[in-house]
Amino acid sequence: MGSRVDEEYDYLFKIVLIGDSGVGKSNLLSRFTRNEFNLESKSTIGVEFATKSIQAEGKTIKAQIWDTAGQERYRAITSAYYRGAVGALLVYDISKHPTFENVERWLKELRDHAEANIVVMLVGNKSDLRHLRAVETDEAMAFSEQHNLAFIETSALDASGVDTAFQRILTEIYRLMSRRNMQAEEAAAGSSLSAGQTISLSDGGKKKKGCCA
Amino acid sequence: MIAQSRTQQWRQAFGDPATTLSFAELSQQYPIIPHENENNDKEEGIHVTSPLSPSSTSSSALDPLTAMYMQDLQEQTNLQTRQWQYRQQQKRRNSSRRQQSQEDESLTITEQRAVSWQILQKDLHRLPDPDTVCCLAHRKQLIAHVLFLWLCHTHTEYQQGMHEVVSFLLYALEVDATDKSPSTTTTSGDSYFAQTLLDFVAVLLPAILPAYESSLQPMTARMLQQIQHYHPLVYQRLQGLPLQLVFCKWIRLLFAREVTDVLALWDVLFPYYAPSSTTTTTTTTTTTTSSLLTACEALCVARLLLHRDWILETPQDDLLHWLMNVAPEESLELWIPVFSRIVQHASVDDLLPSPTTTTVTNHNTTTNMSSWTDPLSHAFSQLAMTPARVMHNPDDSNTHNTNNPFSAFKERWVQPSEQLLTQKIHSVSQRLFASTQLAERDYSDPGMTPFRHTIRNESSTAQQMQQALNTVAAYLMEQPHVPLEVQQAMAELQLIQQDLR
Repeated sequence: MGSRVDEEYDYLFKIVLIGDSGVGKSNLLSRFTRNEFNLESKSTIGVEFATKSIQAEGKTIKAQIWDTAGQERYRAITSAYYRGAVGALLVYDISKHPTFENVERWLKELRDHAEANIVVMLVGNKSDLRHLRAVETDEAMAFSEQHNLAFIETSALDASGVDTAFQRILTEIYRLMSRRNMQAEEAAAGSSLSAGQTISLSDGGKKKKGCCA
Repeated sequence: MIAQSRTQQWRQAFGDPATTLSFAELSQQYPIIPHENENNDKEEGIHVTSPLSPSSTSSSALDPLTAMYMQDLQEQTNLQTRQWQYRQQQKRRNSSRRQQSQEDESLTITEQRAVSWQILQKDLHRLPDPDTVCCLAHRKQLIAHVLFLWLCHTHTEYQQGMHEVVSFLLYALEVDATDKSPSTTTTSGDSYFAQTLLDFVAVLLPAILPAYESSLQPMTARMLQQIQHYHPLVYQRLQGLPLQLVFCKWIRLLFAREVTDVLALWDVLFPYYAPSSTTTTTTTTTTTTSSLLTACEALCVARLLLHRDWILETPQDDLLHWLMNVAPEESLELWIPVFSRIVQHASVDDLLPSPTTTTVTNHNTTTNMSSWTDPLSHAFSQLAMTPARVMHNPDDSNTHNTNNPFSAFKERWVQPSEQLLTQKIHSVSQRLFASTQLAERDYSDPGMTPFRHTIRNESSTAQQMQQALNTVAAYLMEQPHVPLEVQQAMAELQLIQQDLR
């Protein structure tokens, strides 16, 4: 049977995992949410989905993480996939340069389908494969600076960087959101109002549940 | 005992196809090695190496493991380059479509095929092997070849998931072949497998193609309507969720990851295939759904109704999470009767009692389902849960049950012959042994990334396995004759089990 994830949380953030097929998106998800790594993980069909709560700046943030198939043709479900996403981990494989070259295409996809405010983090996965490295850290770092993205290298296999990646992006989203909410409040106090779409970041997000069963 | 084999029954259910595709002819028509196009490719300088041809280069100076990895890497790089070039070409074509010449158009198709072929190869590396007895590489090549021919013939683009359906179709053929006497197995051979597999693919994939090519929105709406009819409360809970994301995986794979014995489920599902419906091999997506898809819809509805208690109890926020990660069904005992009623638009009230009464009224159950609950099957299903090379955090009790690689064996457990039992025990013991080895990894599969080993050693699992072993041992005790190999295999298994603890 499936498990129930009854817990209290302050914010619910939807994060999407994107990147080429085979870069390790599903294993990043399973490592973060279940602390599992499966060498024999199957191709993702459509979408996988998992949640996990973390603490950031004294708040409980529940991350709802969506993992999609890397194949282009799955774009039939794209709109549902990106809807409401406030963060994206754009994953490439450090041992396969073409997956890094495709990052730009994924950025374009994000621009086309996701909300404009979405926080994007570039993730170089499989950092344990040092001897097979094909994408230098500096190269990726320069790219992320150029495109104003956060950047981290991870290994779903040895777990390095995985928690940090999620923690960083969730904290970043939280900070951005609080700042925007604050600005919106100030604006509302000053003029008439118009919280606008910035609120959509937290839309449906702020929830405090009662005691669980 | 059974006059007809499973695959013969399926064939009967599918009826006579309007046109039969010949594997031999298609192989000639669509050669896998696209070298013939080398001259045409001068525009881009693309050089395609066939994954089927043995790679003679690159491995001379390297150790086998690195060579294997490098080969894999090379294939991946080829694929990426090819995809990129394909996109570039498409872009150019779109911008100057008017000036396109005929030969350029054919190049696109060739390109597309090559891309399909390589993505397919990549996915096959990650395909779980349902049967450790069979030669892995050979099996994957057969799947790839048959699927590739069908894709070329129907001008369909490969999509992830198709390979898994074909894999289970092949598995059904393999099981049938092993069930027959050894003499027939040897005579049937590869060409028989390839042709039969192609026949099945040509029937089934077109029938489920709409699920691959559409957003599944209309289908989801229909299913929700049915749920509203059968259980308004469940409907209320499900309303507004993007259920198409859930159904997408269920239907595209024909429930292959949703049940521990998918072949048994297909036995029930395939008779609903209607050859007269609009399921000819064309790429045009018709608005009318095939009867197989309608049956799939009913299966989805039945499954949701089966889990109505969970759906009603689970908080709304977690419902989608739960639905997307619901464990594979171990039994078809209740699912199938509910499904049959839904197909007939009959009431299911008596089949779905209130939460407290758990009595199963399965007067409607299909005959071969009764054996599913027998203790031996259960025991093996426990053994099958052996978490081969899955790394767990010991304090993480929140174990999500993914489809296990042994599930397909269950078919054999229902009527275990001595030979099969031996095989099975051996494979389980191999698996268990592997998980006792810290640095163990499966070198037989070139698709695996080297140096990535995992281990899991969890006491609760060990206990479960102990129980399962006890059940098997008890079963063997009751047998009038237990062959020596079985006894030895059991002894070996028990030793490994002790090591695991």
